[in-house]
Amino acid sequence: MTTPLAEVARLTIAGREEYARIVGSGDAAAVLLVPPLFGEMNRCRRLMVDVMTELATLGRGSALPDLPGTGESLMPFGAVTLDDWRAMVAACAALLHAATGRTVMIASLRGGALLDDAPDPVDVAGRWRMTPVEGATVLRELGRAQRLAGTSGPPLSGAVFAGTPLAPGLAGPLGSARPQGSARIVRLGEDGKNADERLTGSPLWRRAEPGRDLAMALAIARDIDRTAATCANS
Amino acid sequence: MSQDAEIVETTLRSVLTDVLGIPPARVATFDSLTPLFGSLPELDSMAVAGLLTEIEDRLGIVVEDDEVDGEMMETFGSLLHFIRTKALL
Repeated sequence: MTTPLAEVARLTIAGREEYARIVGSGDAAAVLLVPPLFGEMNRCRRLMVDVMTELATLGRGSALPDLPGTGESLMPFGAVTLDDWRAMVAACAALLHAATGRTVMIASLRGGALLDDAPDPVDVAGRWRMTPVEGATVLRELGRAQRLAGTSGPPLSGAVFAGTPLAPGLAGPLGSARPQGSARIVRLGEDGKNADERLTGSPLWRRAEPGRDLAMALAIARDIDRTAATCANS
Repeated sequence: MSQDAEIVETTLRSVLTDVLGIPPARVATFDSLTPLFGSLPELDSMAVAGLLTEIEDRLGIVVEDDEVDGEMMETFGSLLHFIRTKALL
């Protein structure tokens, strides 16, 4: 980014101030990281920040939004809709495009792939996805964790995360959401599904405790950097 | 042991490492009597959900919630037996 952005970008989504973390600057196109959803987001926070640091070393600035209702966001989680998350990702892409004058490389992890088609195509250089999942799978896992936890108190109906029911405007559209459009697909070596590239590392999004894998963060940053360079030349 | 049965066992060991963060060298020492649920502090109910989902993903099977109980998760052997029954139909 020729004009370095503040470390925290402020955006207005649905009338509220929301925040995105910004790391690095440089003349190359910036990367917008779209985090996984729910618990996986927390388990991958360290990984995403490590990827941002590595991208900065490669001369690429990056942004990581706190999706509405998560992280620093003041929006109550129980009120969040899928459209709020998609609006946040779209606004971040527009902000990076305006700040750098270059179209943005969007790199999503897991359920983040369900949000990465939200930006206006004029803001987007290309898309990169790590082990994308469908919305139905995300909901299924939330439900399983809820049932296995066997918590006391009145049973909550429908999808619940950390004791808070998902708003109908989140659970409903998420159930039928699938990653849309073309993207470079990256998976871990043990994952048998089709991929454009396989990296060595651990599925930190599954870890019972948040973990760190610096070698994987570096491999991810390098692959995003190469992909972004290819998109810029095409 | 058939090749498929061996793949299921290798997959289970690598999922235990990846999901619970248990070092591969320690998982390699697990035998059929090694206790799991209730004995591994890493294996709480959230971890069980993640473990089962990852196993489903890698082996292309579906585990119903009512099939999940303490007995099935009791030892490495009982979990392996359950998964083999599912995966090697």
